Amino acid sequence: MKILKPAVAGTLESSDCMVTVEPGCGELELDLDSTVIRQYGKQIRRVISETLTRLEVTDARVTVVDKGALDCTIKARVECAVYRSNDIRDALPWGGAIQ
Amino acid sequence: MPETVTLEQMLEARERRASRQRALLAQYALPLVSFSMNIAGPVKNSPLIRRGFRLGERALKEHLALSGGAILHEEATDAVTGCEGLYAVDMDPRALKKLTCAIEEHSPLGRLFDMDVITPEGRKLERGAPRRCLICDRNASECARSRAHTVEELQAATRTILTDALRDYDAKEAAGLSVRALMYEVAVTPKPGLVDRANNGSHADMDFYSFASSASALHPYFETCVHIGRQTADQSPPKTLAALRFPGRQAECAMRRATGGVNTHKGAIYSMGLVCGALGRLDREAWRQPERIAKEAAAMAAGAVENELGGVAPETAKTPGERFYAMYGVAGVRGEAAQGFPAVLRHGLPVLESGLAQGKTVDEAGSAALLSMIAHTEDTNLIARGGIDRQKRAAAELQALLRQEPYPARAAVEALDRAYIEENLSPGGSADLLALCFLLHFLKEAAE
Repeated sequence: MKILKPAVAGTLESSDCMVTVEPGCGELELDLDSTVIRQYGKQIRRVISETLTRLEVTDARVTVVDKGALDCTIKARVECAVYRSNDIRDALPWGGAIQ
Repeated sequence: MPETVTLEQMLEARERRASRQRALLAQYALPLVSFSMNIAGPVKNSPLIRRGFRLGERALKEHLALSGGAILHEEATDAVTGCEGLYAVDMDPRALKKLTCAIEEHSPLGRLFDMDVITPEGRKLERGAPRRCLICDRNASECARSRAHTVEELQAATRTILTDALRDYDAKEAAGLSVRALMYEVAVTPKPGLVDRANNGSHADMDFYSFASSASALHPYFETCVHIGRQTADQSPPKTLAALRFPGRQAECAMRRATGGVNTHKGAIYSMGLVCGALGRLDREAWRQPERIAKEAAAMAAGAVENELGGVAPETAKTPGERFYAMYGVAGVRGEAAQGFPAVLRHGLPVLESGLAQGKTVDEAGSAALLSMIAHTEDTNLIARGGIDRQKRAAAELQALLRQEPYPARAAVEALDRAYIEENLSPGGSADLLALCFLLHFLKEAAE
């Protein structure tokens, strides 16, 4: 999927994260800020990368400000931001039961 | 079955909240308090959670009023995704954050309150100290991120915090209202033959202050009665009454200790303790329904007349109550209770409440309510002082008086007071029922 325009998903509440996607300069660029970066920085980066790979996003600037979100939340927020950059608003293929 | 939410619904709710926050910041340029309940797991709303939220909301508003923080806008959401409130407050954001942190730290339910403060510039203020986990007391955000505890554990801990806090809150509130009802009863002036603010009625050994001392000493007892009612709610109603018996004796000791050995509230210890036990057995929503409360109290007291008064002969009777039942079949407060306090529901309470609704003073409405109950009960204290014939005549006289004027003029009640004092009469049983009228009335007012 292409990043057509800047888009945002999420909030800065605790246990959430705010994801911003923007058109890139030919590659994936990830900027991560997290309240739990020391313990979970690597894992959060992996979740973001895997989600982008699955969506076939290869060219984007992605900024994530994380407030201790769980992996499922991070994944959902990244997906949502990417869909919004493509103006897909209905029937977003995210969600699932809270475990 | 409680309704569960999906991750999607929660994520949408948060974004909706964030967008409302941005809109209010733009409109008011004031700091915002964003209040929601911190509830783990897929069930984010329930009657219990909603009550907790309302108490948090009330605490927030009351503390803001104390601190002079005016709320210029408020909005609340009550959805499957949880209860939330947004408040635009005219107050320094740091002072506001200090206030919400104090509520979170010090209220019994505070650990479940999430009261974020957002500056007019849109920045969320951080807490001084991180929040502690509900279960292990470590940093809450670390436990949440690492899923250190199962959802079941967290839900159980949340439920315990909610039920414990609300149970204590309810018991304290009922006890406070009971003491208030006793104080209102003694304060109503004039009352024929009874201690009031004008005189000591037909009593040489007690005054207004005896009643104040006794009422204050009974607060812990009423609280205990509510707790016992709740603890025995799954058992049959008479089991609750049985469990109240010893605390009732202790309350009588506390009363005598407080008054120097005088019986100010023995009847009230029985009837009001019974009602507090009934409150404990009932859901909080039922507290505003006098009929429901009286019905529960009646179920608890069922059989008490036969069990406690049956088989006693006039010669073997140890108390006036036993003697009058043996002699006249008058069952006193036990009989009133077992029938569901008909004098209170049909006479005292309607007279009190419609009087207050018509703008009559507490003295006017209260004394009329008292007279209506003397007129429609067999007051054992009147029988004890004046004999059964005098009691019947007193009731008949009052029925005639009230037919002409349901709210007799002060002078008429004062004349009655003088006559009762002259004859050394005291309608103490009806006075206890007046206190019950006040309690049932206050409980309605206190409905959340």
